[in-house]
Order: sequence, then C-alpha cells, then structure tokens
Amino acid sequence: MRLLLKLVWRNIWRHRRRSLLNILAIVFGLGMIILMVAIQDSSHQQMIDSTINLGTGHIQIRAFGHYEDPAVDKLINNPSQLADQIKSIDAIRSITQRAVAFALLSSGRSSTGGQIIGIQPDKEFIIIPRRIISGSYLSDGDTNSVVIGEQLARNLGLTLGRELIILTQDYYGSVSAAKSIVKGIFRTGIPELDAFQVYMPLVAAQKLLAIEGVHEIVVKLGSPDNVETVKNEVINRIHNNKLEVMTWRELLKSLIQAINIDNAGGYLFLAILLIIVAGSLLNEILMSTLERTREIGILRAVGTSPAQIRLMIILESGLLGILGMVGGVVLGVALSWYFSVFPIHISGLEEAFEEYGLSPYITTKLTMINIVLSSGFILIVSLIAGIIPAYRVSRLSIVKALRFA
Amino acid sequence: MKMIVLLTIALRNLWRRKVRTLIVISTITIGLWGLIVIFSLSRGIIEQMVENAIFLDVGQISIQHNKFLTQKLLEFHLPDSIYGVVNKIRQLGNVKAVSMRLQVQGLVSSTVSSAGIVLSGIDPGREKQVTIVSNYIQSGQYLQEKDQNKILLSQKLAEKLGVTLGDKVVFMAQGANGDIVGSAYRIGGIYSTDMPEFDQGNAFVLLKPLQELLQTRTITEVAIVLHDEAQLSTTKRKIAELVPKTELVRVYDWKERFPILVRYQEIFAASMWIYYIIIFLAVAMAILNIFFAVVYERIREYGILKSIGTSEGFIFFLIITEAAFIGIFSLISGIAIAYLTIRVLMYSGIDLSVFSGGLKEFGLPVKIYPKLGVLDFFVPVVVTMVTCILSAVYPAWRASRLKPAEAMRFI
Repeated sequence: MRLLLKLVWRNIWRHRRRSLLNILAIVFGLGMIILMVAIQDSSHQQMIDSTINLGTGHIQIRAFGHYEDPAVDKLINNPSQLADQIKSIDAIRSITQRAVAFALLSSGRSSTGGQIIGIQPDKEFIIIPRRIISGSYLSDGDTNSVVIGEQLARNLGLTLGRELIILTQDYYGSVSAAKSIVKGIFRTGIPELDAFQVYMPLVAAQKLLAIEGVHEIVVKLGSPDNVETVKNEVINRIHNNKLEVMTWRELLKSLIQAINIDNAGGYLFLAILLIIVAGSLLNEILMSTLERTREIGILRAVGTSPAQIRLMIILESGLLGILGMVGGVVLGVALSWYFSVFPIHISGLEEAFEEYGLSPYITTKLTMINIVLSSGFILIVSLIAGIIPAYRVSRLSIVKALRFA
Repeated sequence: MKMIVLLTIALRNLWRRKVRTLIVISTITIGLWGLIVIFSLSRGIIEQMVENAIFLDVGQISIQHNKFLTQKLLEFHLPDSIYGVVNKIRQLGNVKAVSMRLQVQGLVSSTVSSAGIVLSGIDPGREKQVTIVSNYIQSGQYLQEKDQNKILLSQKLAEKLGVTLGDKVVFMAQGANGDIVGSAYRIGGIYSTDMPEFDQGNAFVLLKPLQELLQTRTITEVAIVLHDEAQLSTTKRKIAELVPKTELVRVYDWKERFPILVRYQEIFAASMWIYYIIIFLAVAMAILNIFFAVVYERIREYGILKSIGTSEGFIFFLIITEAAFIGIFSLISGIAIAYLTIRVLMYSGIDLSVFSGGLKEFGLPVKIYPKLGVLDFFVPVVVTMVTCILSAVYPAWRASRLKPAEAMRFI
C-alpha cells in the first residue's frame, strides 16, 4: 500500500506542468463556484432580512383565514393575554400587536387608496423609525398622529403637521372616517410601502375600525435559527384552534419560491463549470495512462493485480482532486472574504435593487454548506474522472501493453 | 498548397487521438449548449417583461401631463387641444393604434372589503388595439360601447373584494372640483394577466360615464402602439412636434417609463460576457493542457519535420490550426444542439407554474419562452475561438523552437 501511494505521488509529479495546470483548473473552478454561491446566498439573505424587518417578523399569529383574506372582522380577541402567554419563551425578543385595513386616504385636495396599520410604537420592531426623513416617529402617548411614506405625502400634497383624512369600512361594514395629523414622513425605497402605507397608533386604528381586538400578533426572535421549534411552542401555549400561527417561511412563500428559482439558475451555471473541469481532468488521466501503457504492462508482468492498477489510477485522479480542492477552498474563501470587506457597487440599479429589498452592493455570505457541498462535488467528479481510464487500463493484455510503442 | 497540407495534417493529428479530441470537444459543446440555452431563456424573460410593460399598459409611446406620472391626480390632465393632436397622430405612418384614457385613483369597495385602485375610463374599440387586456378575459366579456355602468376588473381584485360576475361594486374618488364622488358599477367582465401588480391596481369603465362622474371633459393619458419598434425615436420625435408647445405636456417612450427594464437589458448583456469568460477560463486550462501533452508526445515527429526543412512558422501554425479546429467543431455542435433545444422550448415553453406564485409576485412571466438575439451567437463564437487559439500559442511556440537533433533523439 505504501508503495502504491509512493507510485501515485511520483506519477502525478512526472508531468509537473500538466498536473499543476489541472490542479489550477480545479482551484479556479471551485473558487468561482464558492464565490458565486456566496454572492447568491448573500443577496437572498438580504431580501429575507429586509422583508422581516419591514414588518413580517419571524412568526405571526392571526385569526384563521386572515392571511388568505384580510377582512376587518377576522380578529384576535384577546391579544394581550396571548402575548403574556408566549412572552416567557426564551428565543422571543419582541412581541407586537397590529390592526390593518385598506382605506381611502385624502388630503382634501386629492385622494388615493392605501393601507393603514395600527401599531404599538413602543413594542414595534419595524425599521420605519430608522427611515424617518422628516418629523418624528410615533410615540406611545400619540392618539391622533400618523406616519406616512414620502411618495404618499407627495401624491397627496401633504407636509408635516397637515391633516390626513382616512376613510374606511369599519367592523360593521359602515363607512368610518378620521382626521389625523402627519407627524412623520418615511422613505424605505420600496414603492409599495412609500406610496401606500400609513402607520398610526393601535388605539386610534381600533377606534376607527370599531374593533377591540387586533389582526396580527407579530413575534421577532433573537436569531432566526429555531423558528419551527418556537412556532410549536407558541401553538402549545396559546392552544386555540381559531388562530393560525405562521413562520416567515410560510408568510413569504413567494419570496422563497423566487429564491429557489434563482438558485436553480445559478446551479445550472455551476454544473457547466463542473462538467468542464471534469472533462479536463478525464482527458489528463486518459493521456497519462496512454503514455504509460508499456509501464503498466511491466507492472502487471511483475505481478501487480488489475485491482491495484485501478486503485492507483483512481488515487492519482483523486489526489489531483484533493490538491485542487484545498486550493479551491482557499481561493473561494479568500475571494468571498475580499468581497464582503470591499463590496462591489452596482451603479444605476439602485432603484431596481431597492424594490426587492437589496442594497446596490454585491457582497458575499459564506456558509459552511456552500464550502462542504462545492468541494464535495469537486472531489466526486475527480474520482469519477479517474474511474473510466482506470478500468480501461486494468483490462489491457500484458503482452500487447509491453509491445506498445 | 501549403495551406491544404497544413489543414490535412492538423485534422489527421486530431483524428489520431480520437478519444481525447472527442472529450475536449464534447465538454466545450456541453458548455456552449448550456450557456446559450440559459441566456436565451433569460433574454426571453426580459423581453416578455418588456412586452408586458408595453402592451398591458402604456404602449410604446405615451403622452401625459409632465406631473401625472409622479402624481396621478386629476388636476394634471391633458389640455383640450389634445383631441386634435390625436387625430393628427393617427395619420402618422408608423402609428398602429392610439387610445385615450382618463385615469383616476380611488377606492373600490364591495359589501365585504375595499381596495385602492386606478380606474381607467376607456374607449373599448380603440383600447383593444392598444392593450392585450382583452385577451385575458376569464369570465364575462370585455367592455362594450353600450356598457354604461359596467366595470372590468381582475380576478385578483374580485377575490379580494369577494365579488363575482354581475355583482355590484362602489367606486369613490375625488372629482374635478375637489368633492368626493361615487358611483356603483356592475361587474361585466373579469380578467387575469400574468402581471399581478397590474391586476391588483387596475380596473376599467367607459370613458364617457367616468368623465361625467368626475365632472370633467378631459383625459389624462394617450397610449400609442407602433408598427415598427425600430423607429421608436423617429416616431416619438414626429409626435412631439404635433403636441402643443407647452411645458406641461410630455411625450414618453417606454424606455423612459421603464428605465429599469432598459437597465436589465444592459446588465444582461454585460453579465453574458462575464459568465462566458469565467467558463472559458476553465476551458482554456483544459486546452492548454492538451497541447502540452501533444507537444510532448510528438517531440520526435516535430524533430523529423524540422530536419526535412519544415519552417518554424509551419509547426507553429500547425498547432494553432489544430486548436482552431477544436474550437470550430465545438461551436458547430454546441450551437446546433442549443439551437434544436431552443426550437423545442420555443414551441413548448418552460412552465414554471409550480412556482408561479413566487414568480408572479416578482413580475416575472409564468411560462418562459427562449428568445435569441445576435449577441447570443456572437459572444460564444468570439469567446470560443479566442480561448482555443490563445491557449495553444505557448505550446505552439515551444514546439516551433525545438532543436531537430535533440528532438529526434528524444524517446
């Protein structure tokens, strides 16, 4: 066995330049694969984080059916009691209640459709307070103030301190109206929010809609890792089959599907890269075994078994694969690290990126799965590239091989 | 003569190591095939987004008050003289159809629920020629000239409002003089396009009744569809000359309306080069490797060639020609397979309806059809040939510099 390994080692260094070139091809291919997966992962993570912070949270409790069809009368009737029941779960960082409804928004001069969201300013985790561009965010004592998006303010010709008239249907189906003062204006860069969303104190929204309950209890966790476990814990504690508990994965189904499709496209590209690296390696092993036909004949003649020859050649290919893999991981990690420290700025696409909750920077997020899977694939491919020539060579007849010129 | 010898020897050399040549050609073929198909699909997606943007909504060219796009308010309407202008625009050669619309934002509600929408007052006969909404009718029918109080809305909106065909909905908006006005409509048709964002926010009624409701005689938008997209800017200039010379009225082409789509097209072209270059850097290493082996195998041969008086240049170009042949054969097979695949996909499309929920929400079409552009063949041809030839240069140079005596002694 030791002799075999020694042979393998010497064989691959016989054509130093060719072996190095093959290792280099693997290093380059693997490095690129790790980098591109890291770029994809990071952009997807950004999308998810930004949606979660824009209001979705990690877990939501709603009345059954409210997610499918958000009607005013699908209520959670005892929200504070529920919040108390789950508040002691360790992983939970914040719990907040919301009431939501569609409304006609008017400044007296002009009007437009929009959505009102009643929130608890002190308990809310949404990113809006950090996106205020003029005025200020809601505070706990407010009853008559609203915070609106920049585009909405422009559409309605509203400025700070002016009155916003909200017209909506209340719990009983009759038209209900309220006048509120614009206390703050925010800009998230996401058109749907900036042009349609109105945040107001929960109590004011409840009064407007003639309800006592809320529509959503939104939970944010310290870390998103154990969201399923926390969900089950929440279900156990609230123990109410009229309520629906959903994680962000269920709430953002369409985002996750879009991410999967994006991933599929990326993997196709990586598969092509992998095939080319495999082809190059296969060719190298075929050439080197062909050149050594006589030598292999001699090995057989002095009593080496076909199995040993096969093993030797597969090991040669595997060794090239392992060396390339080590280098590839180093290259991939280094490139990913470089771009996470110095992100690439994409000019001209700011709006498009913001629409999907992305920053206009290309950066990377390196995960262990990425490294393990990518290098695992490279290793498998390099072993497979060795198998075909190995079988070909081990079946050579000794006499013919010895006569081969 | 010399040329023919060169080509013959190059081909024979490739043929001598069939397996090796086949492996390298087939890896490049697979690479080309995959890249061409992937890029034709991405191009298909982008072109479909462009077409949806144009033909669902604004046409290739539209005329609006210069503030209307940022604030869809009734006060930013078009001047009355626009009616005369539209008649002149209809006379232009490249103009296929013109539609006039009155758009207003408001709240539509049923007994169950309500939603903010843009209601468009249209002339159905003209509108049908401009947009493809009439092709997406799910139940009921498109608006007719006599449908004074009927409304056309989307499946998505109908679901949200909990209404079906024949039900009544109430629309409320701000009229021209600032009062809130409202009117009840019966649902005469329900449509559903591939663009949920469009569906969610758009409903249609006849122009005349909407004008009466809002107490106005104006329109807010003119949408124009052309025969020939290539003459977009010329036609736009001609239309701009007809439009009254006030600062308030603006003529837009779709590229101004959807700058993001134009960016997508640019980014697409750039990323195509990047992806090809990454893949072909790997190909370059494979080819370089082969020619190192080739030179090593044939040292004796090159020695003999040189000793019988073959020039350095001949040997150099012999190897370059072999590399070029690898490129050419790979291109032929890669492009052929890709072309066949694309033809099949053009016929069948790739149905992503399994994921359609996600796609739709992101404004992507549900069924993807590939589309080919000139760049789709130009980039692979350039990248493949440059890669193959450049990566053979160094081994070729080495071979041409061999010393005959030493080379012939090599075993």
